[in-house]
Amino acid sequence: MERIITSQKYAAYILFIALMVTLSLSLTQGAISLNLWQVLGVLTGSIDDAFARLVVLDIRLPRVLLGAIVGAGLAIAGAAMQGLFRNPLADPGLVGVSSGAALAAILVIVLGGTYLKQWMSFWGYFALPLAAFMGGVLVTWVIYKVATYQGRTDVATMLLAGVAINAITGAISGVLTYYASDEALRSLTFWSMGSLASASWVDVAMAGTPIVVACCCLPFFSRALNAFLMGETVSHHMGFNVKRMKQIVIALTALAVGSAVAVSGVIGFVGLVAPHLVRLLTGPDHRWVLPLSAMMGALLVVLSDIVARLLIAPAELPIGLVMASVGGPFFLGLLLKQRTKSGF
Amino acid sequence: MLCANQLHLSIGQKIILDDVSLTLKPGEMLAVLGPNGAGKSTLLKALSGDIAELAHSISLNGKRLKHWAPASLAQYRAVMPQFVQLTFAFSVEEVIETSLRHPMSNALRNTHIQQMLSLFDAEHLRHRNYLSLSGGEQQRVQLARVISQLETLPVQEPQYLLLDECTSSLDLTHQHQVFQVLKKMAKQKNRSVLVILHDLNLAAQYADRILLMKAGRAVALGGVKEVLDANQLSEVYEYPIDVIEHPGGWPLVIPAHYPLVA
Repeated sequence: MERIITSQKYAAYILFIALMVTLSLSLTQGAISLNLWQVLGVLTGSIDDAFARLVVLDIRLPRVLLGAIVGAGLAIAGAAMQGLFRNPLADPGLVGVSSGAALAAILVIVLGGTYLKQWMSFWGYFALPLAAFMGGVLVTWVIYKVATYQGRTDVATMLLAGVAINAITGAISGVLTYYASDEALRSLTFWSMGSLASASWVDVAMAGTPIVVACCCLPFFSRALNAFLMGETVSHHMGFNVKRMKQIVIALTALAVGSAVAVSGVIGFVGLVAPHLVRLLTGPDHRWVLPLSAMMGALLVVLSDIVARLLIAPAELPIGLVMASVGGPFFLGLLLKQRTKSGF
Repeated sequence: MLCANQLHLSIGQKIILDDVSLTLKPGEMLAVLGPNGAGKSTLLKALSGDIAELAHSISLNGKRLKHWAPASLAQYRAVMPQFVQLTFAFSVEEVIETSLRHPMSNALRNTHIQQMLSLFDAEHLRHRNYLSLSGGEQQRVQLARVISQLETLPVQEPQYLLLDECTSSLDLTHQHQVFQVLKKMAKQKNRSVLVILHDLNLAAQYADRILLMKAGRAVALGGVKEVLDANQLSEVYEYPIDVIEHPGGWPLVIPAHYPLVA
């Protein structure tokens, strides 16, 4: 696809400004409208309005931050996976990492009162996110093992294994819904469509730490991923330690996706759309695509969350629905436009 | 030197390489010829270290391949495969840049990329989308990338270039330009070049030595005139072939017009 902006630096500046604007917009908008000065006043401590403080510090700020963190994590994981699979349509959802994490969480929601009682009482508040994270890591490990034969990871097999895993987890989740109580069913539906509604500072810390780690480490593999796009043997000939690079990138990706799904449920499309939009701006060089995808992902999720909150206020939509209903058609349009051009 | 000692490889019942031994001397250009399925590409893969079970019978500059760390090996040998699959829209410049492992100032990098591209008449492609190039243009860019990999750091010991049909999509002029550049580089920089070829006359004109392969075996390894013998070629290719002398002094290979067996 041809690039819109020739200078990658400008793309970075524009994206950064857009992200800042969206973040401040998100802090001011909602069931209670605040202006930017009130928000800034609360943040700097110069306003002593208890109500404004409650809205900004306890409700909106954790939610906005969580949205940004989750978006950044999903998008950078998507960008890294697309590099790893040499396929611009790869996505954490596609290879089953998200659905593995989701299945583990559904297990906890549905069976928490019966079979998994011990797990629940031992981990308490962390039971569900921890299970989701472990589900993501487990699926990544299974797929990697299935696709690795004699020390080589076959990308096509990995994608197909992902399709199979998605089918399996989908079937098990389906069966589980029949055992779910009414209350569990509602939380399950809401959760499987993705939501930031219950965001708390604990969530921010819990998802934030691993995702920040992933966002800081993945860019170190930019050059290796660039070479990898020309094929596994080519990048090996160019002197990259391909095997180690694959292992680390896969682990970091699972970490980011597992943590994101753990706190916000399944928010699809970010991992697919964000890197795609960034490549449109900067081209496929991972030195730009990885960091800018994180920014783009944060922007998209926070923006969708604003829509999710405002569209039917004071009630709100699951953010996954917003993302899918806007992202889906948009992406189809991109594909149609792309047919005439070469490459991603 | 790049030495391979009695390489043997079979998959199931099929023998892919049958006791092939080879020494690539510094500064020489060796052409590997033979019909389809002779094991030429497998030999190149083995020499570049891709076949783990053969890596212990191959040594580069006196050190066995399996003992080389990938990063330092890459400074001494570069490989150009038959096909490079790239589906992302890198610019030509970015493709060359992937070969630069060490930090460089912007100005230095610019001139380096310019130099590499100009070797193969590709400076004008610098800002083009790699995927929009023709097959021949892509091949020239890949050649520039491979050479660039060997040029990034000064090294003391000989370097090796392994090229699998690197001119298959080029027009006549570019084919000869490429071989002149490779030949000059081999002599001036003491680099060894191994090329797999289907064009026997290119090999006749530019190679120092030729390895002729069939069914996994090295049928002949030696000087150009010695290997390009009409009877030997006819037998290996199972097609009648004449060899005459070109006025320039090298053998000229001509597939005969008449079928020997009616």
